[in-house]
Amino acid sequence: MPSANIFAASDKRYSFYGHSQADNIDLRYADRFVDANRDLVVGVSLNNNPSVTDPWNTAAAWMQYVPAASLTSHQFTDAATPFPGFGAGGNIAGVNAYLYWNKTLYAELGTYKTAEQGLSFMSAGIDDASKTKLSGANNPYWRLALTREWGPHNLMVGTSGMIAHVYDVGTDTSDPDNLGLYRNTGLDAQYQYLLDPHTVTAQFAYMRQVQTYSANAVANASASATYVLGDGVTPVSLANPSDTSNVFRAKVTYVYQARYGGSLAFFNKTGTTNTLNQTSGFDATNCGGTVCNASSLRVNGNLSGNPATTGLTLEAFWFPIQYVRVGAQYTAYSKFNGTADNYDGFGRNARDNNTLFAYLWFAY
Amino acid sequence: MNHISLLPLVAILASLSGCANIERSRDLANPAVPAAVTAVQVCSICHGIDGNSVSPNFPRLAAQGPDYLVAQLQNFRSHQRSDPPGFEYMWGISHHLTDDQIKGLADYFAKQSPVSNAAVDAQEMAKGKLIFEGGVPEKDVAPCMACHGPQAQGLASFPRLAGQHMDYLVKQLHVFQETEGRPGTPMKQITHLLTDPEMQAVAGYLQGFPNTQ
Repeated sequence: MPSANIFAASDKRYSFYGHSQADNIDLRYADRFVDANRDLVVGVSLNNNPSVTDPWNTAAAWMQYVPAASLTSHQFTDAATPFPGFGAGGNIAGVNAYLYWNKTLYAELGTYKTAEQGLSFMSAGIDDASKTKLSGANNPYWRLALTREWGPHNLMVGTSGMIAHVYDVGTDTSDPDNLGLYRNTGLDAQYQYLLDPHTVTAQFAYMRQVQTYSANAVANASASATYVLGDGVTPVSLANPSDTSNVFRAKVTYVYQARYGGSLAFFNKTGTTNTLNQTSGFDATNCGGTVCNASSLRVNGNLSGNPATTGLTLEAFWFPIQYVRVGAQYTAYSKFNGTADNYDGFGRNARDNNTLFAYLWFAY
Repeated sequence: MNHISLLPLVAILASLSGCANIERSRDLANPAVPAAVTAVQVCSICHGIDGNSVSPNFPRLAAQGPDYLVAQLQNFRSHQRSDPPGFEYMWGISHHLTDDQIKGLADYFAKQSPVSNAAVDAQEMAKGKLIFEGGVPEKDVAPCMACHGPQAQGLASFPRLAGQHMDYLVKQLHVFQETEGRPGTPMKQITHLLTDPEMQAVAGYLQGFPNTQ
């Protein structure tokens, strides 16, 4: 569960600084009541990441589940994911109850709040300014799925979603003008063929997110209507108070003898354009009227204000022994933050974010 | 939410669970757990609560001969049977079972009712029927029904085959032919010259065996 960031210090010989933080946490109690007439699994979970409790890998927390090296580095190994607090393994606190009836119906309902006081271990290691903070305890998450198995086949079709009231990161949570709203609704499906020595899995997940920005976020963005477009004269339009985005993912995995495997995944994010999301542009006021670059952001910048991101991920892995996995994952982008070329205003192209990630897992 | 208040809740749930209740125990290392409880709580997960497993990864056990089931469980426990699904799953599961529990598990599944399996192509069925009833004399392959019964229902320690998963049967025939994973039966001799298409045909006939129920 914990993950470590190790940073080498160049000015001290033979010593390094370490940092660790809480990763996905899922503490649960479950039981099964089975007889000739019914098969009922019930459980309750204390966890720090919406969808981490889900049994299927179409869930946001699990679909491309290679652990990220840090809170920010994962952005180039995976497309942006929904649900607040996802980060590098979640950092909010929730309680979920679920049931699985007759291997047919799965239903789960939970609610989340900020991981604080007795529950602060769920965001351990994440500094206060970066922590996800929710308003109150009424931030529901739900998940419903239907399953059917026949021969070596298994099929699941489901839906999930969340409503979360989230404060802008690093802001004063006593100010309601810092509070925004996320509404997520998703559709997903998984087919699996399991017959020794082969396992084939095909997954599909679609998530729609409507984000309503906090009053302060909109006001601050509108105040930068001092931003002008590339012509140096025309002011950019005022920020929209909300955005909608759609993330579509599909993945196929094959494993042989539970030992050698690989996968191919495709992701496509589209969404509304909003000057609020523009982090690159010209600020006419800073240079006394002359056109110049102001607070534009390299690499993570967004010149268009559109979130469109498209790409694919190829993975190959091997289990030399049962509890060790060695693998490599390559993510290639054809579009990032709205476009294929010069997405940040400094000439960075989507393909410049292509990433090779190699990992070693140990699980016992 | 006060995390301290969760402790009494956990204690209550634990007392209701199989931890304390032997009638719902999933403990495979406790000789006091009745076999019928183990069958329902543990074996059912792979083999089905009535022994009619869905996935061909796990053989059907409904109406299987009790002597045969006892021998298999004892052979898993002693590691004498070491076919791949055997050691992948059954070695660990059978490790602590007592002879009484093994007998009880065999009785539980022996009295279950089998249901018919997925249908098999008619041409394959016809080829398989010839082997089942007449063997392959030129390869010294005796007719299966001579030991397994005219309804493939099993006889004494020879197992029931009717309605068994075709994929499971083919894999076991290869285990007999090519490995020492299941010693102490006539099957090594019998499968010696059988080809894979012949194995597929007879296994298909057995899966689709008419009037299995």
